[in-house]
This record gives sequence, structure tokens and C-alpha cells, in this order.
Amino acid sequence: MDFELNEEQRQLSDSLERLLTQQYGIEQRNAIIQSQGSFSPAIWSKLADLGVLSLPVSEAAGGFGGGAVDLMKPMGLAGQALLLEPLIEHLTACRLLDRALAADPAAAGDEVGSGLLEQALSGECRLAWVRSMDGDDGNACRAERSGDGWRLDGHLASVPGADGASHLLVATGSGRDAGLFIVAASTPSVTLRPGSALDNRRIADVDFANVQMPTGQRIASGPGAAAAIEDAADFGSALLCAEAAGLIDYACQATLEYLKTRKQFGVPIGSFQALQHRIVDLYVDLEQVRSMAALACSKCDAAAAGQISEIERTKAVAAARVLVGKAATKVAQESVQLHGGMGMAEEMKISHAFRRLTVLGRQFGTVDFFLDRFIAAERSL
Amino acid sequence: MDLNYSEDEAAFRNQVRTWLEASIPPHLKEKVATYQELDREDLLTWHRILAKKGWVAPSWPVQWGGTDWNAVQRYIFEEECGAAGAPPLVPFGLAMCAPVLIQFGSEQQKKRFLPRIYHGEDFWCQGYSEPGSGSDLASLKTRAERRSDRYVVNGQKIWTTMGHFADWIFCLVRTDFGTAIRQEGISFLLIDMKSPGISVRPLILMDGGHEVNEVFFDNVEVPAENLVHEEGKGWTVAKFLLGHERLNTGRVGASKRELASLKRFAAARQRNGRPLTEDRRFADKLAELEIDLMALEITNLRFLDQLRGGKPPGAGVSMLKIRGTEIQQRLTELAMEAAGAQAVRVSDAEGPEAQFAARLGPRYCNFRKTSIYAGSNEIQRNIMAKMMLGL
Repeated sequence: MDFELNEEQRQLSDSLERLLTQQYGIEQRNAIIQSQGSFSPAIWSKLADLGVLSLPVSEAAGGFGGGAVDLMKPMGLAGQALLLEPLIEHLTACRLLDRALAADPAAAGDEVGSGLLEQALSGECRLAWVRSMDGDDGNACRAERSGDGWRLDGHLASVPGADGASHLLVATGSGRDAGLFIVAASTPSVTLRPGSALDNRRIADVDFANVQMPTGQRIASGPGAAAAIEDAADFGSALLCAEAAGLIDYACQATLEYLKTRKQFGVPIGSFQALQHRIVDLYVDLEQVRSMAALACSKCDAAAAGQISEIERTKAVAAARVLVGKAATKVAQESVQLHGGMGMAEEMKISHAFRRLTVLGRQFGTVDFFLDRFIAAERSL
Repeated sequence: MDLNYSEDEAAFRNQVRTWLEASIPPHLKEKVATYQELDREDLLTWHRILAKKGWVAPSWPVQWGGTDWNAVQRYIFEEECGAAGAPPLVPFGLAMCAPVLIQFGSEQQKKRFLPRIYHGEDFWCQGYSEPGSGSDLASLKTRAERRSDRYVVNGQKIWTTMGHFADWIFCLVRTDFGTAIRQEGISFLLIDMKSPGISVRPLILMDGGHEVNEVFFDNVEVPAENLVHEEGKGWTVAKFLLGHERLNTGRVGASKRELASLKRFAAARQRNGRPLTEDRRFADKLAELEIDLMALEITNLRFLDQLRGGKPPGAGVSMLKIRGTEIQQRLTELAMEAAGAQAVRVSDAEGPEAQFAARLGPRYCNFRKTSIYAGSNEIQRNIMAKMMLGL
């Protein structure tokens, strides 16, 4: 077992860290929120230059053939910096597109798909993917045969990464009925209603009103599509855990610093035993989060390499999401409380961390959702 | 042992309940129920309705407008207001400055300020905390120098709720920097917010809202007659306030109403194709919260009963604030959870349902303040450890 980064991974991380330190401080980040709608084309283009956007895509498709583990440190850095840009969503969509194309080489939509992937890797366009979370307040989408092609219908609320995406990858059905479609955001019967999320990132409600799609827009189907979709879902969650590790690291450090420097009653408040115990607990949570992020990412890569079953991967990722989701809430609440009134102030980075942790813990699924997923995976192993 | 209200108390409760039902303006009730921000006009409207009824200041002496209710009736009234979804009353004038003036103020101060507070003609805010003095309030440094017939005030207050539209501020200031005991150098001063030298800077909270401020004092001149009680006795005044009217800090009535709203809201939401209230995990969370609230309510009534018996509540009353705020926070958390993906969005929501859901995340963020303000829950535990357990 080896938890250390290799040379390539270290180099990428160092470059990314430099970029974020120099160009993603609090002031710069606030400016991106206020005047750039939470998306900086300059930063996105630098991420492309660094190779971050191409990392998890196969070499055959022009990527670096990397995996979740390669992205662990970069996502941690993004978490620490409270990156607003939809990096996880884009990376996951690219990976999904890549794998779906590979799974179904004869699919009609391949040319469109490969062209799109190429543009996505270079940062020229952005992708997002959506999937039915059936039965939750009408958040669902279905694809039905319609003449020679397909008809897509449904509604999905608050999709991260959808605002500004040129194309959506829409995953429908499961198993033999699984399908993956490429839908241009500009399609007339597709409505994207953008907005800001609680964490200042951009989201969009997506409405498919009987979107007619020629067969060519379906780029994968059946078990191959289903496998690519599940891989992408777990991959995205694993990256989210890695982001959480970096963000929780920041929250712990900031809170520790505050406890050491804030004086009341003539002493640093960190000298109070009650608070010492509480921040120690946060550091213990941090290590568990790091461990589970590493587990989730390595299981994603192992499954992709055929070393373990997909269910084993799904179980590990679900476990990580449960632990990380609970830790995210706890660290958010405790770090604000330990900051006292200042923790509530918008001008403090810790309050931004609170909001991102709140959203992150529930992104792509809540703790309850992943508990169910873990139990189901556990039972079928 | 009888956990019920007496017949008289129950009759009083019904009287209050009936009047509230008929008197809260529907548009205000709607705003409160859907967590919309109440502006100054909204707050004044409700204040005036209560003032007209004669119920805006129940705990004041009758000569100044009080209702001559006993402690149980006062408690019932506050709880029923919370339960009915009445707009909150801004406490700084009615429940803080006024009791102080009644207890310690000169006749002139009472005559000048009490009627104006009663009729909502003056909005008050509280100048206590400073950047360097939060939990350790006695370390405050805003100085007030006596010069002939006035005080000249220099310093800064923080977390001043409604400082941006208050007419007056009551401040703890330091009039003597040389006392051996820090508390003995503190005085209680009433300051006109229109005084030259006062500036207010908004302090935006993490929900994006503007409710608190920093207030800066730059050579602000305050007439000496605005000193309340004696110079150097400000801490006594502040302590009096802390011990005053502490039985409603649990906010039981309001939380019961929140819980009922949450149940209705959750019943209309779906998870896995079924109503959210039928989801076992969510149902458990809801039930546990309801049970905690039941316990808090009974505990609150037991404290009230002690008061009936003529025994003022001891340090244990701090537990009402601790548990009460934890429950308030948990209610906002579950409401956010119940709204699912809709609560992720905070801007550009279309339609009342989506707009309501879009307020739940910011509300969850905003309520993190409840365990921090009015004496943080950590301080409340310190108080209980020291005063109740002798540790």
C-alpha cells in the first residue's frame, strides 16, 4: 500500500498550487463572484494549460489517461481555494463521454462526441452531465423511442455545472435500458434557468420539453452505457471527497489559527480545554476524510483497471460519501461556532467554507442517499 | 403534580390566542411564515397594533403601559405570539432599554424615553460587543470622557443589530480606565444615533443579509443627563438585564410552529417516490426533534412553576437557551434538507414554491448565530458549571 504521490502528480499539484495561491486569493475570488458570474475564463484556460482538464481522459482521446488518484491533490487544492469554477462537473462529464464512446464504438453519435470531447479538453467548451434522481420532487428525465430517434422529457433542479455548459450529457434508464445522450444547451426545447447556489457557484434548472433527438445523439446504450454512467457517478463523488479533504483542511487550519490568536479574558481562547477538545475532534475528522477520499479514489482507479468489481467501487465511494457528508456538516458548524461572531461574517473566508461544505456534502446525493447505496452494495457483495 | 395550566391560565391563553388570530395582518403573517425579510415598516406596524391593544410591553409597570400580568401570563403571551407566527418585537427598546430605565433611570429619563419606546417612535439598538470584547464584555474599551456637562465618546461597537436604522443606542462605555476591577469602570450611556461623529458600517452576514453593523464613535458628545444610574455602575445595570425575563429564551412557541410548518412542508415533498414524511430516516429525524422540543417545553414549564412559587429561576435557566437554540438550528437544517435540490439555489427562483425553497439555505446559515449571540452556548455552559454545579 502506498499513499505517497509520484513525481508527475507532485509536479501538477505544485503548478496548480502556485496558480491558485497567486490568482485565487480571497479578494480575487470575491471579484470573480461579483463581476464574472463565478466563472473566470482566465483561470479555466490556465487549468486547461496545466493539463488538469485532460487528466482523466484516455490517451486515445487526447487526454493523459490519468485517474482519480492523480486528481486527489489537485481537487484538494481546489477545495482549499474554494474554487468556484465547475471543475468536478466538467471532469466527470469528460470522463463519461470518453468512456461512453469507448464502450460503444459503433454508436451513431461518435463523431459528434469525439469532436466535442476534443473541444472540452482544450477548455473551448464546457460540459456537464445530468442524471435522473428518480422520484425526488419530480427530478427525473426519461428517454423514449420516438420514430427514428428519441424523445427526452423531464426536469432537473439545481444542476451544478449546467450554467455555461455548451452541451449536456444526459444519462437515462439503467442496465439494458441505459442510454447516454448528447444534448446541446442551445436546443430550442431545452430550457436552462441559471442561478446562484448557496455556495456562490453557478447552477441551472434543466427542463426537457419533449426534446426530439435523432438517433445520432445517443452515443451509448445498454450495459456499456450503464457501466460508464456508474463509473462517472462514482468518479465524481470520489473527486468531491478529495475536494472536501482540502476544504476541511483549510477550515481546521483557519479555526486553529483563530483559537491561537483570539484573546478573551486575557488569554488565547485556544487555552480553554473545552475548545481544545473540540478542535482536536475536527482534526480527527479531517484524517478520516482524507483516508476515505484516498479509498474512494483508489477504488475508482482499481475498478477502471479491472482489478476490482464495480460493486466494490460503488460500495467504497458510498462509504466515503457518508463519512465525508457527515464530517462536512460537523466541521462547517463547529468551525463557525469556534470563530464566534466573526464566523458569521461574509467577509471571512470561513463563512464561505461553511456554505461550500453545506452544498458539497449533499452534491450528487445526500448522506441518506449514499447510506442506501452503501447498504445495497454491501448486500450484493 | 400537575403539568397543565390552571383553568384561569388556560382561559387567558385562549383569550390571547383568539386576539392574535384576529389581529395579525395577513400580509405580515404570510411574510413570517415564508421566511421573508421584515422591514422597518413591517416591524412598526405590528408594534403599533400591540401598543393600541395595550399589550406591547406586558412586563412594564402599569403606570408606564404594562399589563399587570403575572409571570405565567407573560410567558403564555410570548409563547402564543411565537406560536401564532406574529412578527417579532424588536427587543432592544421594549425589553432591554426600558426595563433598565424603569429600574435605574431618573424620572426625567423615564418620562422622556418610555412613552416613545412604547409607541414605537424610537427604534433602539444595543452597543455592547466590540471587536476585542465579545464573550469578555467587561474588557470593553469604548471610552467616555466626562467634560463639564457632557461625555465625549470614542470607540467602536460591533454586531449592532438594526444599527443602520436605529434612532438611539444604549451603550456600555468605559468612564474609568484605572479601576482595579474592570467592571467598576463601566457606565451605561444613552446616545442619539444622529449625533455628529457616529458612523455605521454594515456587516454582511454569510446569508447575504444586512442585519448587524459596526458603529464608530468619533468624539461623539453625549449630554451627561444621558447617563443611566451612576458612573461606574454600568456593569450592575448590564447584569440586571441578563437576569431579566429569561424564561422565553427557549423560544418554545415559535419552534412548535416551525415544527408544524416543517411537517406540512415535508409531507408535500417526495423522496424515492413517496412523501418525505414516510421516508424512515427523515421521519426518525423529525420525531427525535419533536421529542426534544417536548422535553424543552416541559422543562420550561417547570421553571415557570418555580417562579409561580416565588422562587426566581437559578443558573439552570441557561439550559433553555442552549437547548432552545440547538432545536431552532436543527429545524432550519431539516427544512433545508426537505427542500432537496431546490434549496441549493438562492437566486432567480421562479414562483412562490421555488422562492420559499431558495430561502431555506440562507436561513440555515443565518441561524448559526443563535448559538453564538445573547451569550454563546459555551458561556451559558460556563455559567451553569460555575453557578449551578459549583465547579
